[in-house]
Amino acid sequence: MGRYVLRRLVMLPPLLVAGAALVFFMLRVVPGDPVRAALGTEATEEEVEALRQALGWNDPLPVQFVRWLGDLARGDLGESLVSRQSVSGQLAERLPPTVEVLVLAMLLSTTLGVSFGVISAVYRNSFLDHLVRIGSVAALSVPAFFALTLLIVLPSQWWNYVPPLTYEPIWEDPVTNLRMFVPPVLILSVEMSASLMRYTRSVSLDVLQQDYIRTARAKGLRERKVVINHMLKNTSIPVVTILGARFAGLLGGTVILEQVMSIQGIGQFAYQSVKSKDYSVVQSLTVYFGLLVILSHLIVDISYAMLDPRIRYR
Amino acid sequence: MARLVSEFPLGVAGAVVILVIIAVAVLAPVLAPHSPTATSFAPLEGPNARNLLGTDRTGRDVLSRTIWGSRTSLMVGLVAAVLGTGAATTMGLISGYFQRWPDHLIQRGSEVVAMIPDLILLFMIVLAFGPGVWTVIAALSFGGAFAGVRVVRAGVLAEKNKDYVEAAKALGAGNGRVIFRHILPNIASLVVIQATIRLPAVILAEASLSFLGLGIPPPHPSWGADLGGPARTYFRSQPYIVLAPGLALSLTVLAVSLLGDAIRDGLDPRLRSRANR
Repeated sequence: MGRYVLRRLVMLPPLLVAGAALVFFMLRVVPGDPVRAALGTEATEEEVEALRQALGWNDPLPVQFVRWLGDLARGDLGESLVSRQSVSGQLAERLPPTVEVLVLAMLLSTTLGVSFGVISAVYRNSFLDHLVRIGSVAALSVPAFFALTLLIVLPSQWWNYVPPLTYEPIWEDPVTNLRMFVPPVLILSVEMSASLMRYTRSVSLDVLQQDYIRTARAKGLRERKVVINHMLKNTSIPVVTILGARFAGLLGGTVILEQVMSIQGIGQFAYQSVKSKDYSVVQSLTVYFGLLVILSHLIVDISYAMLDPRIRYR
Repeated sequence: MARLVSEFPLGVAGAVVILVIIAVAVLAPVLAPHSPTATSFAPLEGPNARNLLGTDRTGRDVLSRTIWGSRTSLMVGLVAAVLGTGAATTMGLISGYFQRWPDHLIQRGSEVVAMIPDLILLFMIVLAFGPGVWTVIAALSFGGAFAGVRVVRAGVLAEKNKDYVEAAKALGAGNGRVIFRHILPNIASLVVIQATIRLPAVILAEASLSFLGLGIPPPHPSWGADLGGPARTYFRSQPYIVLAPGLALSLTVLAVSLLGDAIRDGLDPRLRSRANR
């Protein structure tokens, strides 16, 4: 197990460098001069040239890439071309709202998705099962930005209720904070729990066919015990896999939700930076996201072994 | 036909809705009362006899834009889903059949692409090649190619050691013949399933990109674009501006998903029993 984790961790840097290289060179293909855009139309040719020189952008691309990698290895993420502030400082500022949305959405959707999936499987072909299944397909079909728009606009039409649009950290003003975060968290959770529910249901149905479930029932265990003690743990292994994969998807989902709610989080940061070709920000964010994605896959693989002692890694 | 309805009621319902949407898309020039792009009316008018769903902020007919928007959604969705799945199949066949270095190259490549969040990857492709219908299609196909390659590869790996492949090789069939005449038909249902999963995802992705202003460029009608940007300011006074494209988009994705589920259940006998039990 230890060796397996070690080997996976050794693979991490090359993967990150390859991803970083892909983004680095793709960004340079994007037409338009970000320096000129950042300085505005007033700037003279000399000023633009001076900034390019100062940033080291007149060097050959491979030289720039290696220099950037060196900075990255020392923990220096560079500074944003647009705001002229350090990328790590901005990341620290924008991380809390995004993390809050992601954590709340993960918690809520796992609870909803797994419970409804299990209920749907245990009472299969009942009215409840059909309702939950149709509901899940419908929930996956409504685009997040449309659902969120409705969720904000309809209450304002009917009850004149508008969620706050300025961010207050949860440790300073929990009520305002939650009022702002409830709509995006709800939308993200409903969408995610729908796919999680479908998956949990089909896995649970497979588990319920197994011999050990029949044995448990034959022993005279109550159905509640069969489901909780014998079915749930065996259902959890495949479900954990999809959780890891979903986490990566959630990161993308926050871009749209933060845009709709004007939350100044990581998603907005990524969107604005790609749009303004803020090289150092996009590159840092990619490596950062990549690290999160790879680590979440690793945690998933490790949790398999913990949930199922039969799985061994070499 | 009656058996089809009783076995897959939701799938048949989805198929009927899709047929209607396809008809609307094909007949858009006849059905739409006005031009989708001409700013020929007063802006932000409520529903009236001439503009059944009112007009948007530049004085375009909302109903006509919603009708024409079906073309964009279906066209981008179908082409990108087919191209993406096609590329995934080609790469999966090469990767699974030849293994060794082509396999390593494709697998490590897809890991690197998977590292970058989908939307950011799409942003960069669209910005690199400039906004436009074909850029959006290319970007979505690229994403789909890497999303499906692992599944196809796994299917190829399962098939390639079976006896019928050995038999074909023993009869002197070349690699091309083994791949296309023997393995491909046996993983065809897998490929179709991939495409049915991909189609609703692609339609939603196009709408999301257009919503963020990085997809179909204005004034081309797109449901996603009509939901985003400045239109949002007028939702309170003119709800139809957002409701019409939003509902059309949701209905299309719902119908495509229901049909996809039914096709999946029908193609996979293991799933068929699962769906019914």
